[in-house]
Amino acid sequence: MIELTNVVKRYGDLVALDHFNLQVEQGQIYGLLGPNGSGKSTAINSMLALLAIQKGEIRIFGEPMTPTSYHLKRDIGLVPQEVAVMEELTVQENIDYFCGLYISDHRKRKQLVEEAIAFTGLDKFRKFLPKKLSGGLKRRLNIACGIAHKPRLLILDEPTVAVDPQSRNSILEGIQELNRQGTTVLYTSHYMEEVEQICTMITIMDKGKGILTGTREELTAAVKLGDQVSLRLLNHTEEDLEAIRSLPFINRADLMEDRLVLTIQRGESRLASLIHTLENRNIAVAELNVRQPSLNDVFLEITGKELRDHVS
Amino acid sequence: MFLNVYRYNLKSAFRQKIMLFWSLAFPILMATFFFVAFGNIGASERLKEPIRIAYVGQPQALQMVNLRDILAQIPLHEGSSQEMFDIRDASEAEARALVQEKQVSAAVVAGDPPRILADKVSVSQVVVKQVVEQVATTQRTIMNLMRTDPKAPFQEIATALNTSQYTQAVPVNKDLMQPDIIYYFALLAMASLGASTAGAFTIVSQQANKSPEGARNTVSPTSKWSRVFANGLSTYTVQLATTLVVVGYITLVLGKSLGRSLPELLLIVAMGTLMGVAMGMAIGALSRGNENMIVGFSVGAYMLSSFLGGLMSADIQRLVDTNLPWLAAINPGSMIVKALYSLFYYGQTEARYLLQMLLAILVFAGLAAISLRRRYHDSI
Repeated sequence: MIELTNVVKRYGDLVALDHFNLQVEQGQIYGLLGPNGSGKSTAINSMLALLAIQKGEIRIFGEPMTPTSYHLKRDIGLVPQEVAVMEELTVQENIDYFCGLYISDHRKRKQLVEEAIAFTGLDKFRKFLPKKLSGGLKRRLNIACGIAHKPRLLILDEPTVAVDPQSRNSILEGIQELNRQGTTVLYTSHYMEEVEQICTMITIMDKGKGILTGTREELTAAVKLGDQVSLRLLNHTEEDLEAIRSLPFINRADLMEDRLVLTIQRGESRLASLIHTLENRNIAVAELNVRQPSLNDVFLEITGKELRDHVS
Repeated sequence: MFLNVYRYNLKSAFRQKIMLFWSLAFPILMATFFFVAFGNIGASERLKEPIRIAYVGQPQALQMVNLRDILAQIPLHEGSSQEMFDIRDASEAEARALVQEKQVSAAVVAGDPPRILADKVSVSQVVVKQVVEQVATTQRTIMNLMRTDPKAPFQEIATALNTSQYTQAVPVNKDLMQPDIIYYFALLAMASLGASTAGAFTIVSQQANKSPEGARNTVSPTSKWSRVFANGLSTYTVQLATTLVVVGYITLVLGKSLGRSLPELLLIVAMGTLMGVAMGMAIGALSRGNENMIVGFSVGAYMLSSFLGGLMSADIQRLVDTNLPWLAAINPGSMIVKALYSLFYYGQTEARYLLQMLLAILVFAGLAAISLRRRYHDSI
């Protein structure tokens, strides 16, 4: 559905997209994950033919995308990062106005507007002006304006920025529901939890480059990160620790006060061997936790920095 | 889709309180202010009732004509059956007392030269002084002629010396307007040109690199030209409607006559407003920067254009016309001012002013179109 090949976009000396590649297939919820300034919004604006690129090719629905590709634009919905609505129009009028840019049939549009209002839960606020809405409701309106015409491809550029957790969950559930109804979704965020929660395919971006692409599992496997097993030990000696460290499946062992943090490849399957070793050495364990590596761990592993460091 | 854009932008524009304040409420407030401040300019030029004066005759003085008779014959104003002066004969002492008791505006003491007794300067006393001075000057001139040429035709000379027969204020504009109307014309010129800010907003809301809603509009399948034209048309509709409301307020509520050439005035206002919108759209399309910067540019251009057109100081218009005629020729403010002022002074506007405005509209629209023709943006 979306195909970006070797796209280069420069702002003066700054390279915003550096031979960036992207392939989004029908039915996916595709996540572009990266810190602020990594090139996510530039990639979206380039694929929508808003920005002039210096090099590369952009194809949407298999056709080259240009500013006058109106037949392609008809099937695309955009939810921009900033709330992009008309401040003097009510919720219902805003949705009707933006839907009217796609659908000329008044009767059909009326029905679509009602569906968008219902989908985003804005029924009680349909007569409200945007300035009277809370931040979360404004975001929902922003989404409603982008989805009312029922696009085949929906592009959401950080739609949950400055949104409370409850509204965020509601937005994420809505996106998943749209995907179930057949909409292909391209979703950008610097919140790894969101991408982990809803995206079926992910590209991690940094400095304008796509540095890793795959499912969540594929990404963590690609960087050979193990599961983290955390143990709270009631008694142990230096010899005990050495014995644990020497186990063949242990990648790393760090003692932090009374807690021993182990990095283990396929942690859950090795737990039995680990517990067996602990029992043999009479080490009492008060607590045991297993945590799979996050996308932040992946990002840290491949860039040497944390995604969260860049969150403004 | 065109109608959808037009309809909702119209609705949106009518709800923009700041815009409505500047295009509607502010001109109405200014018109009201003019009405209160200058409402009696025309009326004050005419005397409403005779001026009461005391006359002190001095029969021993040599007089060719009787000053009292002359003062008694002057009408209050042209065509009036009333006299200008209500004369009360008195001795000089009585006259002084009457002046001090303010029973008369002034006292005229016959003599060569005649004297005027007054205790303060007022319009009435200035009128008395002017009339008496003219009579005295005429009398002295004839006396001098009699001394040098006793055979001169004195009656003809006396008639010739009455300058008022030669110089009479005849308005070029048959539809004589009150002097204060020019302020309302200036107000309409500024209101028309003020549409430029709304015109700039039109572009801001439709360009992807100028506003978030512009980006959303741009990624839609409705063509840029359709959106910009529909939005520009809605802006023009609102601006023209508000200016017409101001015209209605001036004529119907304040009761000021804007002349019998009202259709011509409305044509100028309609063209001026279109020129303002087109100017704002050109500024919006050519400017870089965010919405606030663009609005700043358009307000600045509007103020500068109005200033150079003499809408803030009449001297500036004269200076620009004299020293920088090319600037006056291309300044939208000058164009609309000259079109309206010629209507005020001559009762009709010259076609060249309308053609100039039409040309300016086309140039501004062309500039906007050339700038908008660019298909991609360098940055957003």
